[in-house]
Order: sequence, then C-alpha cells, then structure tokens
Amino acid sequence: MSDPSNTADVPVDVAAIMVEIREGIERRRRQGLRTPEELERLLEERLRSYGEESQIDPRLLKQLLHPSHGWNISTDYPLRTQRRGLVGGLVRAAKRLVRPFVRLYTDHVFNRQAQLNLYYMYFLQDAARQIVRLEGEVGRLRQRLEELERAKGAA
Amino acid sequence: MKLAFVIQRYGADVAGGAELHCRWLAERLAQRHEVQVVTTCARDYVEWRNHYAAGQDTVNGIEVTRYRVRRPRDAGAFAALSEIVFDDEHQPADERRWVVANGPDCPELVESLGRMRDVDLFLFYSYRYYQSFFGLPRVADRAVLVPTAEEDPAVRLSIFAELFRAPRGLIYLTPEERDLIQGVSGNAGLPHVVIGSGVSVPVGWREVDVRSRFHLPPHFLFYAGRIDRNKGVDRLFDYYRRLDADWLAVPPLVLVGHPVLPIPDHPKIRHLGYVTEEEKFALLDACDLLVMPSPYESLSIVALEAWAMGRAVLANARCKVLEGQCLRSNGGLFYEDYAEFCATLSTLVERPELRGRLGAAGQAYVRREYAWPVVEQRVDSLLRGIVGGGRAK
Repeated sequence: MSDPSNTADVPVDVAAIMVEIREGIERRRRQGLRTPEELERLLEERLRSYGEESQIDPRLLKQLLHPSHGWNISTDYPLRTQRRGLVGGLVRAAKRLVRPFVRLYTDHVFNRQAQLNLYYMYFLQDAARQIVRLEGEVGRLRQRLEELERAKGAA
Repeated sequence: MKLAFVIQRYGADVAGGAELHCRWLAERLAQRHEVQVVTTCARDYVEWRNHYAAGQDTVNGIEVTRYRVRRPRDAGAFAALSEIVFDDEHQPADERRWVVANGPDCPELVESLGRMRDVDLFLFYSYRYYQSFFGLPRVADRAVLVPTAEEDPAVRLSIFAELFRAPRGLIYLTPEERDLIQGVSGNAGLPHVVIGSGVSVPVGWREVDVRSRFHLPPHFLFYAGRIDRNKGVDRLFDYYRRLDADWLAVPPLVLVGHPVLPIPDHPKIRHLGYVTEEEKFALLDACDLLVMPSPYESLSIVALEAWAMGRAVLANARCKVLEGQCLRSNGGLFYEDYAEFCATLSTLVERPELRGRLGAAGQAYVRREYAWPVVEQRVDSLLRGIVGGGRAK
C-alpha cells in the first residue's frame, strides 16, 4: 500500500473539518446564495407548515406534497358499503344501477373542478417558490448594501 | 463448537455485503470450530430463482446444505405489500405477509433447523429475510442473530422487535446498527458484540497496472459497488454532472460494479465493468478518493478496503453508519446535500495533503479495529459466553 502523502503522520480531526466546511456553507446561505436543491427544501418546509397551521388531514398534506396528483378529486364512483352479507350486496347492486345517471350529471363538474385544482396548485406552488427565491435575493442585496454603507462610512 | 450459519444465499460467486461477510466469517471460524452453512438454492436477491442444486455442496472447504425456494419473489405483490406496511395503517399479519413476499420463501430450510440437534449455535444472517424471521424462533435457545440492519423503514416494523429480542445473542457490524436495533426493540440486555469485518487485501494487487490497463488519468474519483438507486448512485451522477458544469477541474469519476442504473453518457464518467479483487484494490490504490453515496449501509466493506489502502473516503452523511465510521476513523468527510457535496469534494481535491492524512488515519483505524484476529476474538468470546452459559429455557 503506497503512502499517499509525506504529511500523513499529522493528526486530522474530521469533526472539526466538517464544522469548518458547514460554517462556510452557512455563511453563503446567509448571503442568499442557495442551491436549487436548498430552495426546494425551503419551499417544502414552508408548504408543510401552511398545511400544519391550517390543520388539514395529515394524510392529505402528505399527498399534496407528493409529486403525483393523488390528492385531487376524481370522477370515480366507487361501489363501497360498510354493510356485509345480503344487505351489502343489495346496496352495491342499487349503487351499480344508479351510477350511470349520477355520473351523467357529476362527471363534467368534477372534471372541471379537478382541472381548476391542478391549475391553482401549480400557480400557488410556483408563486411560493418565487417568494422563497426572492427572499434569498433580498437578503443577499441587503447584506451587500450594509457592506457598501459600512465601507462608505469608513472612507 | 458446532456452528451453523443460516443465510438467504451462499456461494463463492454470490455478491452482496451480508453474504460476503457471512462467507468470510464462516471460513475464518472454521479454522477453530466445526462450521456448516444452511441456505437456499438462490443466487440472485431480486427473484430468488433456484440456481444451485439442492442438497449438499462444499464451498471453499465449508459444508453447505441448500434447499429449494418454493416460489420466486413476485415484484408486483411485494411492492403492493410494501406500500401497505410502510405507508398505510396495517396489522402485524400484513407485516408477516410482507416477510413471506420478501422471501426467499423456503419452508423446507426452516423445518430442517429443528432437526439439527447437534448444532451448538446457529448464526442467522439478515433479519429481514424469510429464513431468519421464521427460522430463528424455532431454535431461539441456540440462536445468534447478525441483523445486518440499515436505517430503513423495515427495521421499524413491529414484528421485528420480537425477533430482535428472541436470540441468545447478537453480532452487530457497527455501533450505529447496535443503537438502532436496541432503540427499536429494547434488547440491550442480551449479550452482543460489535465486530465489523476483517479486511483481506489480495496479495497480487501490486502486480496489476490499472492505469495502463484501463487508460486512467493521474487523478480520479472512484466508486465500487452495485450501480443502483438504492446505493445512491443516481444522486451521485446528478451531483457530479451539476458540479462538473460549474467546476471544470473536478477529476473524472470511475466506477466498477454491476450496473442496475443506466450510466450517463458523460465524457468524465467511466464505467470499467466487472474487475477482479486484485484490480479493485489496485484501483483503490490509484484513486484520489473513494466516493460512497449509499444512504443505506450496515457496514460498507469497500470503505474499509479504501482505508486499508490508505485512501480517503467521501461518504453520504444520510447513512449514519458511514458518518460514524468517518468520525471514528478520521478517515473521510461526508455530505448531506449538494452544497456539502461540492464543499467537501473540492476540499479533498484541492488539498492532497489533507487527503493523505485522512487516508493514513483510516488505514490506522482499519489495522486497529478490523484485523481478522481482532474480529475473530470478539466473535469467539461472545459465542463461548453463550454456550458456557447453557441453553436458555
């Protein structure tokens, strides 16, 4: 095994190096310099906190934050009943009979509402994303302004 | 002592961390004990299709008994059950169905264990598989579990807490794994030991000139292992390409191992395919550093091998085992996100003297903690303590 360096016997402290690296990253973040990944994480945190504050069903919130559209309403008319046995069978048969008539009136409305939900969801998420990005930008510009003012005062 | 290792698959050509660890330990312990292996006929871990012949076999001098897998894993059914047990409200019965679906579904193996009355101790590998979950309770008074657990959702399934409390003793690979299992099961009172793994450097690696054989540049980053989303390699590709767009000096990324993911068509990403052990160690010696992007590892033998060769490691800090190993050894840095990946990698690339010191610290750590005699002594001490204490009622 080759010796990779002639300074190899100098002790090294990984914990201290990581603290130094993470402080450097934090300084850049405070200046508003964030990676796209960090912006997405901030956005998700913010969307999650909106959901928690509004006290919606946590399972729905989980679906809202998921990339799929499982949270949206659908035109399905599932044949379900809590009843078992013969009564359950009769209820399911009755529902099967009325289903085409119900869907005739509800499908169009539900489809339209689902599309509106999707549109507003994209619109609001993008607006929230832009706010998060612009907050970082404002923070960076404010810091730059303070630096310039300090430099001007010193001069 | 008469020892029987029980594992999901076993063979000289079986790849996989737990399986390799089992084979190495069985071969080492066979120098002082009577060792046999009980396993299935499967070679692949995706479908568990029967590959080897059922019955007796010998692998590197170890007697192996193989049983046929009743049916291969149904990926669709397994995915559906995974969704139920990990994302929905469910019952313990669903979790047991998940274990059966996970496989390898081999009731013959489980039934055979009760008939092996002359075995002093059974060493069960990998808690999540059928043979451990259904086999260990049958011989719990003679069982030692090697969980090979990672910080993934399966370890928190309610049915496994009982399994972790059932054996006479446990062998952990890292302190993080021990803390995880004790946290989910409250089994800290059971005899246990943290052993890691011995590292065996093949003798002939120096004779392999990998630079000319593979036309490698003077500096490169190295990854060895399965090229798979589960190993975090998709994210590594993503991070690497983003970094390369901003920082032209980033060294090429060289990979070896079985590709499950497509390798990106990128001028600085090179896949060398399968390599021999000697070539792998020569590549470890030639590289600037090893990148270990896996979020789920119960030990990471390749990180130990990199340290054995005096090379620094850059690891995914989302894997607490890897982060812990880097901190204990002072042999590597770690990252949680893209910003940290850029900062840690540029630090390592731009500071060769730091890389050298990290590599040397890692090498000293492996020599101190992961020499085979040290590992064997720890295992022996646990096993003798259990057998000396008599069989539990």
